[in-house]
Amino acid sequence: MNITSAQYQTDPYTGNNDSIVAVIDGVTMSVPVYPTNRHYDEIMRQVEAGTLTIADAETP
Amino acid sequence: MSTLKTASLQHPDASSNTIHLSASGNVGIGTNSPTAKLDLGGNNVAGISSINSGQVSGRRNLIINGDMQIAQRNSSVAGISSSSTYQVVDRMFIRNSGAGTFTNSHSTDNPGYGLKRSIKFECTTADSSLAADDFAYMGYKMEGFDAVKLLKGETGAGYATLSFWVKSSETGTAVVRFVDIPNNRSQGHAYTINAADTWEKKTITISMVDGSNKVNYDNTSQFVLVFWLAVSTNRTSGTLQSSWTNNLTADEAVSQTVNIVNTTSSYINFTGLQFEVGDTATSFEHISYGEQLALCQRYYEKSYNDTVVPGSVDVSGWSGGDKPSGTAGRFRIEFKTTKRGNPTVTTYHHVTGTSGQMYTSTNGSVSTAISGVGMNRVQIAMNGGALSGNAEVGCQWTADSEI
Repeated sequence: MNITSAQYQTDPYTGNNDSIVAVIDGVTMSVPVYPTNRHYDEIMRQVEAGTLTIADAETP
Repeated sequence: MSTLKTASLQHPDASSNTIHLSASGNVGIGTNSPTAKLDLGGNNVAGISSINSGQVSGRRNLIINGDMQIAQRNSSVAGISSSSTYQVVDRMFIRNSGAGTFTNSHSTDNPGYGLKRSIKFECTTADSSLAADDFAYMGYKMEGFDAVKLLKGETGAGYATLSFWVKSSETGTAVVRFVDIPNNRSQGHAYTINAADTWEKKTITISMVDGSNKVNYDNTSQFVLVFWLAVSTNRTSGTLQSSWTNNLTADEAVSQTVNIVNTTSSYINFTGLQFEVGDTATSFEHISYGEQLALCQRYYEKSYNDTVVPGSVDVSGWSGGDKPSGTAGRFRIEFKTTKRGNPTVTTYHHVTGTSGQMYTSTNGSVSTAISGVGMNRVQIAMNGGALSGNAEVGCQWTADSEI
């Protein structure tokens, strides 16, 4: 997976960062913060490897 | 040893023959004119607890979309020089790490027997001299809820049998690797592609007896089948382990000589993948297109019609709702099939095809905000809050919970 950007998105109902908007292989996707989701797992793998940073959510 | 020659057997108290033997070698029970090797004359069979050491009936094939019918993502993807994802055919994971460049397609080439589609890999940039760590494979990842049926490491463990059709421009030896993910155990088996450009059916039976090394009963990847397409010395320098052994990279594909990126236009097709409990490969288990699609939708679902590639400009079947003035338009989507896990959701503006956006009838293109993602539903909303004016809002979408 070629992940070129990632930013947390705040759920308007829970106020939590429940998803990550990421551009993966050129497509803008909403990746849930949910281990075993393959996109989330890859994002976290790249974050731990220091090759990707997840930007903070936009302030409402 | 003498031979009892008779055409029929009859109990002394019976009034008619019980077993009839025909000159052509057929055996009839309840019929004097058997038309098959064993003809029961329409009578019932009772007391069968197993066929080929596997279940008597129902779903035998543990591989979803083994007949390659369903390809929701695309019909063909060219230029695959690096891949670690699903490209074309549902449930078939494509990995390429440095092994040339190929096109992956949903092919109409087939061996017959009711199989109408296959998955094809065709080289477009050759790599006949692979570097030591180069490799490519097609993988099938089985979640634990399904993999436990193999009984690996369980009480009652016996055998499982893989059968499949293959056709390739390349002859030689290829390898299928069976991987137990949680226990880091695997085994590999070689098969031979005897003739170029010819469909051949292959069968591999493996033991599921492996001490107490069982897979987990959950929704994560627990058992993987690896069909090597091309591989080099880092994975062929060890020993081909034909029984369960701790994973060792050097053992992964020993004996593989087939390289589908050997020359430009080298290719390989697969179809009719069936993995079943028991020591015998039974005929491919055909199910309806609708059933196969529903099974695939546990892992990937889209709003588009079956043959429309996500990201296409297409208004058929888009999801949406109405946005009253002064609000942020939003709507809920109920998935057709419960997902394996919370899915990645991608929206596409159905008028422009742009990902991460939705259509509004009064506010132009608006980025989307996904919330409340679950295995059964999701909410899609306009990102950025309320906008003035009544509007119709909507988009096409995909939900991906592949392993």
